[in-house]
Amino acid sequence: MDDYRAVRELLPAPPLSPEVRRAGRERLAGAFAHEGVRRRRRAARWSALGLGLAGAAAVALLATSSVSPGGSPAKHNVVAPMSANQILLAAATSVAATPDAGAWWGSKQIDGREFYDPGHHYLLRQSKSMESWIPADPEALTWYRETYLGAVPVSSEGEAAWRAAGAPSTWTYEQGKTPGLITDDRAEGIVRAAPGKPWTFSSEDWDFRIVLAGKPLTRMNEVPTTPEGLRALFSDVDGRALVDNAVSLLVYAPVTSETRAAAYRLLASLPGVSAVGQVTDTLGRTGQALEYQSAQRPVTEYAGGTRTRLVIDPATGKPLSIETRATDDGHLLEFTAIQESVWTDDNPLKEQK
Amino acid sequence: MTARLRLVDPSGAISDADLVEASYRRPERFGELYDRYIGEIHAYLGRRLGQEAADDLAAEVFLTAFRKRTTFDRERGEVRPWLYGIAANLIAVHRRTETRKLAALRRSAAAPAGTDHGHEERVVSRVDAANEQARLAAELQALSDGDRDVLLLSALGELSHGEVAEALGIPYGTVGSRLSRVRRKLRAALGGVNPLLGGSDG
Repeated sequence: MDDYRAVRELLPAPPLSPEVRRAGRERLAGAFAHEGVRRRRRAARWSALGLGLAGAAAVALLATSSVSPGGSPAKHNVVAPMSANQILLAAATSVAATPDAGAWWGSKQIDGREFYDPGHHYLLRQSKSMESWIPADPEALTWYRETYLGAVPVSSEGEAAWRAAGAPSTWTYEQGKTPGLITDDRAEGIVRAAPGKPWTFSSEDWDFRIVLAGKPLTRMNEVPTTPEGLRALFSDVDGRALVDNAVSLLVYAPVTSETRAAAYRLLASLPGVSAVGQVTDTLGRTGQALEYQSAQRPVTEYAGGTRTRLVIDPATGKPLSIETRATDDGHLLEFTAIQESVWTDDNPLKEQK
Repeated sequence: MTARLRLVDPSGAISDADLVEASYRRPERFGELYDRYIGEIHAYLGRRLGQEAADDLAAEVFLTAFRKRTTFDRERGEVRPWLYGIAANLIAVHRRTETRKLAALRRSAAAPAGTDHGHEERVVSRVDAANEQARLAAELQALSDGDRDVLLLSALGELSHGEVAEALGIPYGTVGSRLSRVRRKLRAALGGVNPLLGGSDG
């Protein structure tokens, strides 16, 4: 007898009674309702956010990093390579001095992917920008502006190969195997070279408020401001996810500068975070890079191992980029570059609508 | 992170992944995933742990999925294997229930009730079948937890190799190598005594 059939016959499926089905549905509905309640309760607590901050008059200790628009690496005199700890602790000190009063946490990031054309002749970089304005008031909407920035060959050799191939403006992949960002064309297997129109929208954003460690951050103004406190907050996740969560909090969440400093200090205390040295990110900015093994699984299209690189500006304490790179040769797979992130009273997107 | 915020026109048949994303803003949309998959998730849990445990745990799979819905990444796979992965995690904390079930199956199959009458031939084939079931149950019980998960997601959940890899968070190649090793054992257990009964390839 076929072995699979034998297993299925040995282990028959019991019936699902309508009562059990209905009881399960009701439990789930309870969870939906609970989430709504939590959201309303958070309102009161959120108002405190954005007010407090540590005025620790910290001096930026380092000036090894600055914007270098030409993308040319390192013109600075670096006395000695910094250790991961030095970089992180310097960033913590700098970021703690960053003003964090305001009604909105605004940030603009560029998300991108690198992958080969369907014929595997040249490398493409596809990107989009995502501007988000997260309100300190939890009852207010979060505003977004998303713009598809297109896809271009990565290097000059890549560009030559692209021209040799007739300079296509779209690339068509096998169904279900289309690499890159989620776009309207992706389902059809198409990657488009041309940029798209900006798309502005607002929504109740749940993402950052509950995604960390898979648990809700129901009291944002009670997010710990010490490394020990953050470690306890993330206590039920394994060591590798701890790094990921500290980085997420640092980069995306609308928290106080003090909490951000604590996230840097937490990272400094974790094993497996190593210094890479000075690098230039995808926007051509120089910063200090750290690498770690993310607990998140690598992107689908790439079968090998990956490392995650966090590029920071120790002078301001701002995170510049998160990059996912192949472990073997270090080539770039995907990145998020933070162009700007700031607490402010004005939300330009809301004014526009 | 923000890539997950794209919402899709809810008219027409919305995909599983779109439902997960729609549920960020409207949690009740997650209920549609329950409606789509409660049947097979309950069946899978029931085949492995028995009806009582399945009745207790099936809703738990969806509650866990709901709470973790923002960590679902459509680029890394489909919703269905993701749910099976959550079910596999739940089964992992109920290993003893599964072991007891298999042990009971082994015993009951090995000692079939002798009250049935019939042709001698039919009795013999029934005993053979019972022996075969006992061997199979023993073989399943003897498998490592990891091997059993891979085998049963494939045989009972009918997940593809890639989906099993997604569900368990293990490399694709590992699924293939485990399956071929385990299936060799099963075929030996099934066909080893009476080769005439074996033969067909799954």
